Order: sequence, then C-alpha cells, then structure tokens
Amino acid sequence: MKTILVVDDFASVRLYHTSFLKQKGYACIDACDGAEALAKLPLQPVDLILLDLVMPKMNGGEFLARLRAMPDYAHTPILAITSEALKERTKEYQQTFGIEALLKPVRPDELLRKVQQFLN
Amino acid sequence: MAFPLAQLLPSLPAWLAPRQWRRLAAWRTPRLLIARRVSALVPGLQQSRRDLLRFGKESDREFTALAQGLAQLDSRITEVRTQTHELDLVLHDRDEDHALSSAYAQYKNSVDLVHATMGIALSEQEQMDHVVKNLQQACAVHAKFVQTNMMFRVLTMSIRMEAARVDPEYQGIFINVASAIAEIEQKISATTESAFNRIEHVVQETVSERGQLQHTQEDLHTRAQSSIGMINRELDNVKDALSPCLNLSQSIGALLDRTKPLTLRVLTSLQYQDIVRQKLEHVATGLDEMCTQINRNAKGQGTVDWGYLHHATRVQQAQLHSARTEIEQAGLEVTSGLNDLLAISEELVNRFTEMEQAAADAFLSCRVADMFREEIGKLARIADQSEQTNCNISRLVERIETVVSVFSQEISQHEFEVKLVALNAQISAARLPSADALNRLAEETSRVAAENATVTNELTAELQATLKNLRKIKTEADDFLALIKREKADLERGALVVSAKLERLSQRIQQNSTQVSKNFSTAHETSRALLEGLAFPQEIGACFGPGQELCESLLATTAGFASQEDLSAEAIGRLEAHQEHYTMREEHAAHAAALGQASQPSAAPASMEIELFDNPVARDPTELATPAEPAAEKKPEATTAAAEPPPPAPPATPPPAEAAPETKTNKPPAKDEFGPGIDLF
Repeated sequence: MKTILVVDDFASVRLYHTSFLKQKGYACIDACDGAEALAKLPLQPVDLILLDLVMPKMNGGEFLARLRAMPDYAHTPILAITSEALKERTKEYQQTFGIEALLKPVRPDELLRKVQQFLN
Repeated sequence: MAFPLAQLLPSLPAWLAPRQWRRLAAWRTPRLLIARRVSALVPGLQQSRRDLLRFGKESDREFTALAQGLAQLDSRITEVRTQTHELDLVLHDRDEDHALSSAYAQYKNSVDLVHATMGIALSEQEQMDHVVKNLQQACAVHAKFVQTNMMFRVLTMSIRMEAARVDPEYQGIFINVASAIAEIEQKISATTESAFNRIEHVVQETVSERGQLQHTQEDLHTRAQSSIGMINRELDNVKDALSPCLNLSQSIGALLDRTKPLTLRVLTSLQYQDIVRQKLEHVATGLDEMCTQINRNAKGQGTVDWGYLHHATRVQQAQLHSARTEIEQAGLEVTSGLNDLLAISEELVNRFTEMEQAAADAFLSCRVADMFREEIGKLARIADQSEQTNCNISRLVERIETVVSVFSQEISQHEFEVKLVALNAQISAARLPSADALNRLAEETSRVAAENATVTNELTAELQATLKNLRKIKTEADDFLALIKREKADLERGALVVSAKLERLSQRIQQNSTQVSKNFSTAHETSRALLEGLAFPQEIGACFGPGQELCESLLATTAGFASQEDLSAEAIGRLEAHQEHYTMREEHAAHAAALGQASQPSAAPASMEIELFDNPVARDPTELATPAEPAAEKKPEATTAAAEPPPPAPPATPPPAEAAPETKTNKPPAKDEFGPGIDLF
C-alpha cells in the first residue's frame, strides 16, 4: 500500500486529505508543519508528499530546500497544494525543486487524479 | 606721515642703523602732534566701541532667534523622520500590528477553510453514493419477496382446495392453516412493501438532495473562487498601490540624510557668533582702555606708551578683521544653510504628503478593511454547508436504522410464524389418513418460508453493513463539523481583528499627514520671516568699518613707534600676555565639545596669526610682507604704565598652532589660539 505524507498547518485540511485518501486505499500520515514532517519522515517511508507552502515554524520553501538536500528524498514526488496568493512563488519552487502544484480549493476528484498520476 | 622724509632721502648713509633712522623719523613728527592727532580719534573710537558692543548684542539676539528657528525646523524634520520610519515599518510589514501580513494570513486561512469544507462535503457525497447504490441493490431484493409472497398465496389456495377433498370434520384444520398462512403472508407483504417503499423513498430523496447539494456545491465553489480572487486582488492592489510609497520613502530618506550635515553646518556656524561677540567685547574693552590712556595723556594726567599703543591697536585691528571675517562667513553659512534646509524641508513635506496620500488612497480605494470583513464572512458561511450535509447524513442514518429494524425484527417474526403454521399443518396432516397432498403443501410452505428467511437475513446483513458504513461516515462528519466550527469561529474573529488593524492603519496615516503639513507650515513661516528680517548682515559694514578705519588711522599716526625696540619689557610682557588670553582657545574647545566633534573652521578663513609687532613697511595687517623680527633677549626692566618704553626687546612671537613656519602676513589668529579673554593694560 502506498503511503502519503500530508503536511498542512490547517487541521481541517489535514483531515480532508487523509480521510479522503484513506477511503481510496492509501495509507496516510500527517504533520502540521515542515519541522514535524522532517521528524516523521525517517520513521516511515513515504511515496508522495502533499505540501502546503505557507506554514508556521518552517514554511514550504524551507522544507523543500532541506528535503531535497537529503539524499533519500532528493527525488520523492511532491504535490504542493497552495493558494492563489503564492502563485508566483509556487512557480519558482516548481522550477527549483521539481514539484507539482494545485491551487486551493481542490476538488476531491482532481486531487485523486493527481495523486494517482504520481503513484499509479 | 612718518615716512615722507625717508622717501625724500633715498640714499641714507648705511652707517645709520635702523634705530637711529626711526628716531630721526619720530623726531620729525613731534609727540605733541601725535598726541593731538590721536586725541582727535578718541570720540570715533568710543563710538566705534559702542557700535561694536551693540552689534554684538543684536547679532546675539538674531542668532539666538535663528538657532530657535533651526531647532523648530529640526524638530519637525525629526517628526517626519519618525513617521516615515513608522510608515516604512508598515510597508515592510515590520510594524506592531503586522496589518498586511495578518491580512494575508487570514486570507490563507479562509482559503484553507473553504478547501477543507468543500472537499469533505464532496467526499461525503461520494460515500453517500455508495450507500445509495447499496440501498438500490437492496431494493432489487424486493422482487424476491414479491415472488415468495406469491408462492405463499398459491400455497394457501392449494391448501384450501385440498381441504375441500378431505372429510368435513378435518376441513376446518386445513382452512385454519390456510387462513393463518394467508394472514401472515399479508402482513409480510405489507411490511416488506412498506419497508422497501421507505428504502426507495430514502434513495430518491438522497439522489435528489445529492443533485441539489452538487448544484449548491458548484455554486459555492464559484462564489468561493470569486471571494478568494477578490481578496487576493484587493490585497495585491494594496501592495501595488503601496509600492510607490517605497520609492518615496527612499527619496525621503535621502533628503533626510542631507539635512543632517546641513543642520550641523548651521549649528557650527551659529557658534561663531558667540566667539565674535566675545572678541568684540574684548576689542571694546581694549579700545576703552586705549581711549582712557589717551585722554589721561591729553589732560596731562599721565603719559602714553605710544609704542605699546601702536602694537595694541594692531592687535585690535587684527581682531576686528578676524571678527568681521568670521561673522560674515558665519552669517553666510547660517543664512545659506537655513535657506537650504527650508528648501529641503519643503521638498520633504511634499514627498511625505505624497507618500501618505498614496498610502491612504491604497487603503481607501481598495476598501480593504470592509472588503475583507465581507468576503471572509462569505467564505466562513460556506462552511455552514458542512452542517447541512451532516444533518442529511443523520437523517439518513435514522431512516435506514428503521428499515433495518423492520427487516430484522418484524419480517423475521412473521416468517417464523409462517414456519410455525406450516409445521402445525404438517403435524395435523400426519394424523390424517389421506393427507399426503396437504403434507406436501405444508412442507412447501416451510421451504418457502425458510427461503424467505434466508433472503431476509441476507438483506438484513447488507443493510446492517450499510448502516455501519453510514455511521462511520456520520462519525467522521461529526468530527469534521466540530473542527470546522472552531476554525470558522477563529476565522471570523481573525477577520474582525485584521479589519480593525487595516482601519487603524488607514486612519493613522491620514492623521499623520495632516499634522505634519500643519507643523511644517508654522516652522517654515517662522524661519522665512526670521531670514527676511535679519539686520546683522547690513550692520556689519556700519559697525566694523569705522572701527577698522580708526585703527588704521591710529596705526598710521603712531607708526613711528612701531619698532619693538621702543617697547619696554613690561609692555612686551603685557602684549604677550594679552596675546595669550586672546587666543580664545577655551571658547573654541567648549564649542567643539558642544558640537561633539573637532571644531570646523568653516566660518573662518585659513588660520591666521596675529603679529604683535608691526613691520614698519606694512599698514594693512593682512598684507604684511616681511617676516617678523627674530626673537632676541629681553632686558627685564621695571616699568610703570607711564614710563617711556625702554629699548625694545625682541618679541617672543607665539608659536602657531600648526607646524607651519612664521607667516609673512599679519593674519588673525587661528581658532585654537585664542584664550578666555584679553587684558590689554
């Protein structure tokens, strides 16, 4: 079973992503910011990371930089789910860190399609 | 007057020493004549003294007023500096409120809330689709129940027909059995009909609600996108509208940087008025003393040391020249500096007003605060949809629970009763001699009942599974609803806080601009009025000129006593002593300390020295061409103020402050060579 790490500071967003993806047959773990995500990564292998780019303590950009510097996660697929206000910065991250992005609000079918694109 | 003979006698004998030559020239101009000429200068000297003192006081008053004007301007400039800094903090989001980043954070939270709410709602709808499909599959079993009910009817008819063949005494049993089976069959039929109708009704309602929900969700999605887009655009518009403020802030910073050295320059120059005033007081004292001596000599009450008078006059002349140069330079520096400051401060006010106007427009035209409240409120209300969905799920759970209850209890009970009746029929048939057909019918009835029970059990199990799934959906929906309610309340509270911050920011900006303009206007008017009303520049010529001319005349009259050899040791000592006092070193040091830096000689020309002893050729103290006489041993002699000057002793010229050699010109002393005061006599 494929495992997805959901990283978002908003609790209801984490609940949405994890409950929906579990219904679709994926295992999910969640983290409320980049620091917690980095702490959880070594404990369990993940096949995909869903990432919010604006978070307290460690935001998405910093998380991406640190993650890509780790050899085990240099090529882990990352799907950023972010808002319109960060469109420009998201484009920069896409080019720098090789990530995909969706703009909130994202419908479940669209989310599933993108996740399946990465994992199936 | 002293030198016409020298001009008429170009070829004087070489053996005539300079001393004798001067004595000859002095002899040619009788002391009486000199005394008369000098006495005639006294009224002018006294008037000049009064004028110089008056100039000192009036220029002091005017410079004090200029200093106050400068202080006022500086204070207004400091206000602008402070408020520009505050606005700069806002523009770079480093202010106390962090209004803009708070707004963006709230915007982000509202997007997250909408994303989660709509996502969960759509996800629940998808789960409900599965529930509906299961229920629809359950409804398909209805046909089986209809079939079995039909079988029961057929069996009932068959039992009645068989009852007609048996003996009348046994017919009653079979008719009762048939009636019982028929009755139970009707109950089963009614119950299952009702239950399946309910299921179908629930399915239809659910499908219909799903359609409406889908439509609502799409509408909400569109509205959410619109609100999100509007908030994002408005915040970006505010940011863009504020960006000119960043440029203006930088240019204001550059202007403010220019005010500092200007203010310092003006402050430094203002200090020189005090130095000049003190110099003028010293000169006035010196002139007063000289006049007293001359008058006493005229009245026969004492004798004047003409050599000493000559050299003392030279000192006064040099001081006057120095003071004049300094006050002219200081006046120029102060007025030009203040004019420059006024020009810069006008530009500052314009730029500051422009900047704050841009900031105010940014907030007003974008209606950020109001818009934020409205749109965030709309997005928060979208979260209410979760509550509606949750209610629907709760209702569905209740109805399915009822249906499951019907199947699991009522129908099962009925089927049990059918089996019981069929068993009774079999027992009864077994007692009868020729009741094989009835027996078989009873068996068939049992079999159909068993089959019905199996279907009922299977259906009940499916419905139980569906109910379990539905309850799981309900639990997750409840959890989600609780979370959404909290986040929605936080969002609404946050939106109010952010709106208040944005309002506060907008009001503060507008108030600051108005106040700054008003304050500057007063400071400008005051300073301009001061500058226009300055009298001292015009007074310089009138006050210094006569004094300098009189000193010139006095020097010319007493030129014959210019040699230092004519001075007594006491006179030389006194002249050296007052030269020491006259360096005004302490004044300069005090001023430099007050300014917190080395004293800049901006108000003074290049360092000058005052030669105590005049070269006989030179008249103008600034044009002395020959070097001073080298120092020679003094002959200490006791003298009195009225004594004739002894043979001149070589002067002990004061060492210049710089390492430069003795200057060839008699220039006013450098700024650091003046002491606390002079004491001529």
